Parts: sequence; C-alpha cells; structure tokens
Amino acid sequence: MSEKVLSRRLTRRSFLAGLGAAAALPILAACQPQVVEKIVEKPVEKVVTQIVEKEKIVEKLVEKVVTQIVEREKVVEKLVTVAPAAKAPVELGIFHTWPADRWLEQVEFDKKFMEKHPNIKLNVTNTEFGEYFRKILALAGAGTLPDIMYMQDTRIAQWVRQNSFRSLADYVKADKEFQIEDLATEAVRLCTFKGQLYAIPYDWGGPSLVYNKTMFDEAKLKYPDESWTLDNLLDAAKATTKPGTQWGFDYSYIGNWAMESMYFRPFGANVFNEDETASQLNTDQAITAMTWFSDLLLKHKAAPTPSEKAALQAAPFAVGKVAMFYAPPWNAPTFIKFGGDKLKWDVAPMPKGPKARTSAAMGSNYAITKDSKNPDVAWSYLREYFSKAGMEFMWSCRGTGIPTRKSAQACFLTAPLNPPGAKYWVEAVNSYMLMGRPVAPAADETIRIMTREYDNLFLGKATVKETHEAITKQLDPILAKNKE
Amino acid sequence: MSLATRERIEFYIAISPWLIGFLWYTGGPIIASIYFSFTDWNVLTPPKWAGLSNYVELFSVDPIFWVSLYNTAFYTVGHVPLTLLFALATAILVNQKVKFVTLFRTIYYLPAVTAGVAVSILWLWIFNPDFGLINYALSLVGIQGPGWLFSKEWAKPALILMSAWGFGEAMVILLAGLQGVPTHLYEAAKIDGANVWDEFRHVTLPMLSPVIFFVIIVSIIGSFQVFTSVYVMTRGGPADATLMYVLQMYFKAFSDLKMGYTSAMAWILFTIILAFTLIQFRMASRWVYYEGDIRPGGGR
Repeated sequence: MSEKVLSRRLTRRSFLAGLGAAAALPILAACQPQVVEKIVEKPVEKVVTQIVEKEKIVEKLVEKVVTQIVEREKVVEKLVTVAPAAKAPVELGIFHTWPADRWLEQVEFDKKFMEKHPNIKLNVTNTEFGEYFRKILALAGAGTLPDIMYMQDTRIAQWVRQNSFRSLADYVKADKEFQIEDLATEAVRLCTFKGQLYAIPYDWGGPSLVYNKTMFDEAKLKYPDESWTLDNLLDAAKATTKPGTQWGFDYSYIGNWAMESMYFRPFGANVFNEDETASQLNTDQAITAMTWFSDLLLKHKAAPTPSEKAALQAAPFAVGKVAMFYAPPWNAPTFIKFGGDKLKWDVAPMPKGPKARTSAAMGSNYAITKDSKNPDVAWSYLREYFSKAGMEFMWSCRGTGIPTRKSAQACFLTAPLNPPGAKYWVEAVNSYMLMGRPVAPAADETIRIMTREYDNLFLGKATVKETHEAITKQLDPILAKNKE
Repeated sequence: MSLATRERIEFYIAISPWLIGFLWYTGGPIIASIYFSFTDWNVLTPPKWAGLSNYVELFSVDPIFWVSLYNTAFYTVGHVPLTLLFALATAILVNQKVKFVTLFRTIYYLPAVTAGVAVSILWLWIFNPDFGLINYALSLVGIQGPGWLFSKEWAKPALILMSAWGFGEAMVILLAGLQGVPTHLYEAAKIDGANVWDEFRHVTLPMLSPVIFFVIIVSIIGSFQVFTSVYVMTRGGPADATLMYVLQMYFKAFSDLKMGYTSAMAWILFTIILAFTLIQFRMASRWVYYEGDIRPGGGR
C-alpha cells in the first residue's frame, strides 16, 4: 500500500495544492469566530481566619469562592482555592524596563523577596525602554503577558480601556497595611478608570527649575528663589547668554506631557479641555504663553537651536552650556554623569507666571495583567515593592526619583545624588504640580502631532498662531475619539 | 520505488524545513495580514471586522499618509539614480587591472556591510551643521552649509546623500556584469574605430543593461522600505520632513496600536511597489538587451 502511495508521482500541481492547504491553515485559525463571553465576576465572600496565639495574629487565607455568571443563560460555579503564599510553589512573571545602572537594585530586591517567600520564584525580564512596548505588544498578541508588568504614564489609558489589567481595588481595600491614601492623589488618579484602580504608581515627579551656579556667579546674579517670576527668568536668561557658546535657557518636554503645566498654565492657558476631547490652543492666553516662551529662542536668542543642541554630547545643561532648565529628578544622574565635578547646580521652585506657579508631574506604574494566573501572589509582590521600605530601597534613597508614597519621600532629600534644592522637587509634587497631559488613549499620536508642529515654530517656519491652528485642526478629530 | 520518485521525495524533504519556516513565519503572516487590513485591531483585544474603513481613512482622511508617501517617493527618486551612478562609475574603475584593485573593491564594499544603526550615528555627526565634516569642508571654500537634518528643506537630500554611501552592493553586482561582457565586442569596436566613450555607450551599457535593470528594481524596492536611517537619525522630523512610509507604519502599529490600519498600509505599499516593478518590466523591452536577443527589424 505504502509502495503504491509512494509510487504515485508527486507532481508540481499536487505539491502546490499541499502548499496552498498549508497556507490556508493560519487563515482558518485567524478566521475562527471568536466566542465572546462576558464574564461578570461577583465575589461572594472571602473568609480570613484569624488565629490569636499568645497575642500574635496569624492571618490565614482559606478559600475564595467566586461565582462566575456567563451570559447566554449559562452559569458556572467555580471554586477557586487560593494557596497561602507561604506554601504552594508559584512562578511569577514580571516585566521591567530599567536602565542598566538600575538593574542591580531590582535584582537585589527580588533576591530578598524570594528569600522571604521561598515558594515564590520570580521570572524577571528587563527590556530596554525603546524595545519594551514592541515586546510587550507581541506578548499581548500571543496571550502570554507576564503576571506583573511596567506601564508608562502616557500609555496606561490605552491598556486599561482595552481591559488588559486586573482591578486592584479589592486588594487595596482589604490590605490595611498598604495605605493607598499615603500615595500621591494625582498619581493614583492616573491609574484609576471608572472608579477602579488598575495599577500602582511607583514614582511621581516632574520638572522644576534647575540652574547652573557657576554661570549665575559669572553674571553676578542672585540664585533663583521662591520670589522668582518668569520676568526674572527672562532677565537671567539674557544675562547669561553668550551667543554660540552658552545660553540662558533650554526647552524640555516640548509637545510632551509636561508642556501644558510648564509653559501654558502659568499664563492661565490649557492645551486640552478637561477630558482631553478637544484642544484649547487657539485661545489668546495659549498664544500669549507660547509666544513668550518661543521668544526666548526666536527673539532673544537665549536658547540653543536644535542644531546647536545636537552638537553637544548630552543635554546642554548637563554639559554646562545652559544656565537654566526645567528638569525632573530623574535627570540628576545624567547631570552628574556628564557634568561631573565641573557642573555646580541646584534646584529652585518653578518661576511664577502671570497667573500661577505650576509644573507637571508624571509617574510610571506597575499593573497585574488580567490573565495572570496568580493575582494574589502578584499582589503579595506589589505590596512589598510599593511599601515604604520597598520604595525607599528602589527609588527614594537612590535619589533617582520621588516615590509616590509620601512616607518614603524623606529619604530622597538626603540621597547622595541630590543637591540641597532637591526639596523643591518634593515640595512641588506635594503642592503645585498637576498631572501631566495628554494621558488619554490617543496620547502618543497627540504628542507626535504637537512635536511636529512645534518643530515648525522653533525652526522659524510658522508663527505661534499658525502653529496652534495647525495643531488644533489635526488634533481635534483625534481627541474627539477620547470620548469613546 | 523508482529513482526519480525517490529523488523527488528527497528534494521535498530537503526543502521542507525552509518551506515550513517560510509558511509559518512569513507566508502565513502575510496572508493573515490581508484579513487584518479589513479589521480594527489593537492587539490587546480580538480584531473587529471593519470592512474597507482602513483603506477609506488612509486615502481620504489621513493627511500624513500622503506626506509619508511623498517623502518616500522623493527619497526613491533621489536614492536610486544617485546610487546607480556611483555604483556604475566605481565598478568601471575597479574593473581595471591595476595594483591593489582587490583592496579598493573591499573598501568600496565595506559600507554596505556596516550595521545600519552605526552608519546612521556616524552620519549624524558628519551632517552636524556646526562641526560636521561636510559643512567644515564647505566652509573651506567659503560656503555656509545648510542645516541638513535640522532643516526641513535639506533633511531629505541629506538622507539621500547618506544612502548613496552604501553603493557597494550595487557596485559588486555591476562589476560581475562588467566582467561578463565578451571582450571580442570591445575588440570589434576598436577595429571599427570606437573610442572609450563609444565603447561605453555602444558595448558596455547595452551588455550591462540587464544588470542595471536588476539593480534599479532592487533599489526601488529597498528605498520604498527605508526605515533604519530615519528612525535613528530623525524619527521623521523636523516637522515630518523625513517621515517615511514605513516609519509611519511603525508609529501607527506600535504607538497608536492600530495594527489593522497598519496592515492596510502594508498592502498599499506592496501594491505600489508591484506596480512600479511591472511598469519597469514593461519598459524593459525598450532598453534592456539580453545576449542573443533578436528584436523585430533584425537589429537592436
């Protein structure tokens, strides 16, 4: 029989037919109708047994019964047993995007966590930031997202609205030690959607005014302080500029999340309306605001052009070429790396604009993915990661950023990386810093449009009015989709 | 089992690893992308059927689509002839029997095998308006160089110039073609009194035309897919002056999470490249000469 089969000629036609059949397989797989089931989770009861032994309370999770109600009149009752963290072996997948110089701290933290929880094995992956979202999207497409993942501030809305993360509200509510109220309110707001918390923010901070003390001394200027207004900034910028050699000011976050609070709100203007469904750049205040700031370069020549900046090894402030800059705490390592001992710098409050003193704060987050098979164990990791001790270890005592947990912020002030004025970063976060925008799902596209049009402005190819009109025309149809 | 049957089976077994890999990792996804181009798909949730809306949005709503297409076409029109010119001129030079010609061939080919990212970073410095080599050289003759990558007008020409640096691959192919030109044709031309230019025009070019044709096709296909240099050097700026088609696809896919939309863009690109290729093949009959080719009318 086999001889007969094999002796049949395998013609090109039959081969191509086989090829076509093989090629059709992926299509058929892709075209499978998706059965969409809407699962309504209705937690019934969580029984916690408290055993008091000689005044020592031992908390022991017993069982968690979850009744799942599936539409189409099908009811499935499922008993979910949650193994206490101390007993059943569990592997937890975590995705980070730390730079190389921060990775060792993460390794150390994870080592200590696993020593404390010997049954939990952490399967940790670190990806360079530029690659992270490509990688995580591929995993999302394959349905293999890790249990816990990093999520960037401007992208969290996209992922939350696509139902990618698990609500943490029940964990936070049940875990009295976690103390969600100790986290920065605005940071928590960023991670909240329709009243549910979907991620935990680990840092919260934004730009404040940093200044080059040497350049101020050379120009015989007093250092910036709380009394400073934008007029003081302009005068200092002009006084410290030597054309072609050094400049008084450099821009940061043009087109980006901090722009609205740094450049527009001091003038009483906004880039977006309240729910980011329309732009407000065509108001007189917005045009006045951007005219003031763009004149620093275009009129007063007190800021480097893009090509002049490209000639420098790093950010102009870091290499001592700029007297003032709006910088967040996480820029400190860059200043130290490139400026070394030569760069004498400090932090001051943001100068007050005609209407207000404002800046923007943003933060990064971690979330438990919706399909995580070990959400309770994932929470046990997050609660330690975001505890006071965890945040001090990973973040504040290193000086690389302000933790969202207010009780952990003190350590930031004494970190070796930070100058004396670092307290102004912390004060700003806890007072006049507002959540940066855009954060709605179309954030990336919004930032690209704004960056493009502001390129035209700073190249001198368009006026502020023309730039804002162009942005509004392109942005409003995209922002309107944020209503969905 | 006959020998022919056994050989046939062995053949298919031998090519099956590649074939399975091709179908699974390339062919299958290509076919799947046809389906995705008709859907609204963000990867995080299952695709939703959207019909022709992606294509309609591309052609009638999205102005950046046309900007990216124009930028890519501009780049192609500059890159292809410039690269061909450099490659042909260099191939003719290194086809001479001179000392160290092998070394020269290697040197000219090296840029083609250098990593794209490294080349891009190198050229970022060369194009720097303030201290880059090009503007420095221009300043020596009293010319103030342009802003290059920081100028809307000069950013694309800068990328085209940079792309021509990688002519080595085309040079090697043309060199092989040159070495395939029968020497008796040059001898016959000399006997007929042809000078160097006549030889080039009436012998070299016609005999090399199939290779030139191949180089043009491959260059057009490659230049329509330019990505690495723009991603590293400009990210599409300044003000989208260098926003190329594939870079826009990248933004749409990985920043905006519009995989269905991007699939539609990919198929439009495929159609454009296919159209150009077919037009080239159609026009080839007028200027490409194959050895032994007999044209109507008895001559060339």
